[in-house]
Amino acid sequence: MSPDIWIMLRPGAGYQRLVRQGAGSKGWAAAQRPLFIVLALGCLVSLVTAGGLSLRLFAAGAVNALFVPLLEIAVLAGLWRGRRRMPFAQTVDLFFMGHGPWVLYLLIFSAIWAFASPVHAFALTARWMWLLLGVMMFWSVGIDFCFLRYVLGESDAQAGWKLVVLRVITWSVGLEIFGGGSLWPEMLRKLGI
Amino acid sequence: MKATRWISGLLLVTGFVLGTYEDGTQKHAPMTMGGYRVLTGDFHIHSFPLSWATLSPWDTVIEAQRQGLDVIAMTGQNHVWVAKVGRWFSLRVGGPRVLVGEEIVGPKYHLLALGIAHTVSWRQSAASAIAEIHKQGGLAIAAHPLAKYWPEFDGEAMRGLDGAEVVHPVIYVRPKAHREIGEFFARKQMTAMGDSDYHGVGPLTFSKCPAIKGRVFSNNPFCAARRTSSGSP
Repeated sequence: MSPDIWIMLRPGAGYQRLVRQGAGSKGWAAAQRPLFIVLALGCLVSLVTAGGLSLRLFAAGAVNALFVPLLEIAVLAGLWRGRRRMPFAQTVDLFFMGHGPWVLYLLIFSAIWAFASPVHAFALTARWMWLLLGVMMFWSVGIDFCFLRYVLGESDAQAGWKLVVLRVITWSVGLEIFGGGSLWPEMLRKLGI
Repeated sequence: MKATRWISGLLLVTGFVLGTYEDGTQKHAPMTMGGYRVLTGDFHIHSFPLSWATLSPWDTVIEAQRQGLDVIAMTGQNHVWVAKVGRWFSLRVGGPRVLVGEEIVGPKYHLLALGIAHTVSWRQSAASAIAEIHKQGGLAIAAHPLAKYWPEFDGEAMRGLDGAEVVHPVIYVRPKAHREIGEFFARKQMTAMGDSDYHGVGPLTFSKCPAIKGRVFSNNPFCAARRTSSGSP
């Protein structure tokens, strides 16, 4: 079984075993998994826009999605600086091994838009994809906690705190870039102000 | 494991080759009706960044051209600079006519400002925003006017409104939304719009809007603009 799937299913045991084995790519080879996320996001954009893969739309999506792994790596660097249990490249590779739930989500979302009619795809994604997004977020929070606990070697409390820092920074910057134009008024609406 | 990777890679490459070939082969013949050239438009299109969309302004323009649209309004959420980039790019590549627009997303209403020059602030009432849009020579269109936005469209705002979205993807998903949008439109005689509210998901032509080139748009009950202004094709 690939380590990515192993981590999806049993993140705690998976990360402990990978750390013991000294797993994780070193040097530039560690860029493979972040680039795979860019590949997946580029394919998603092409599939949801045109229902198929085209190099033009893939490139368009991939370029715009580059900030996602870069932002994650930047925040991870800040968290890693205090611990340095293993080389940074290896840490990055192990972190991105925990992106299985997001890849699965992208795969499901892309498949719906590739195979269903636009009306059915709208209906399906509007009703179920938010729920699925919540499930994936919950799932990935568990994986990231195990990463911080066993790969960076944090205590439970520190891992919890660093998880909050990781999520707050990456998500707030990401959301600001992606949808910052309407973020504040929409938040005010949700708060009933 | 190695064989699985090779097969996956091969399938991906095949998908790219076929998809890229198909991408370059679409041709759209100009549509004419009763001697008039009919334009196809979409007046509610978002681009990356800042508007929850996946395609950058130049990719949006290329995609609109590929999908056979003659005119689009790029409506960034609470900003117009992305639309200006799109218009600049389209002029250089001979793409569709791009109207600079904005979706004014306030806490209590969503409003399309079409054919404007500067950003209209969301920190004001709908009536005040509509007045500012008109001052800039633009058109004010109620965006997906669901019941939750109705209180903001008071008498003054309704008098100023030029149109409302009647065909919008949400009507295919939620029957209640379909009813509410129809009820809002019945409030007064105004232009009915069909827009895709494009965020890079699905076809741009989901709820496209045909229009007659010249002084007036088509009188299609679901899709017509009441008047032309600086921004109209």
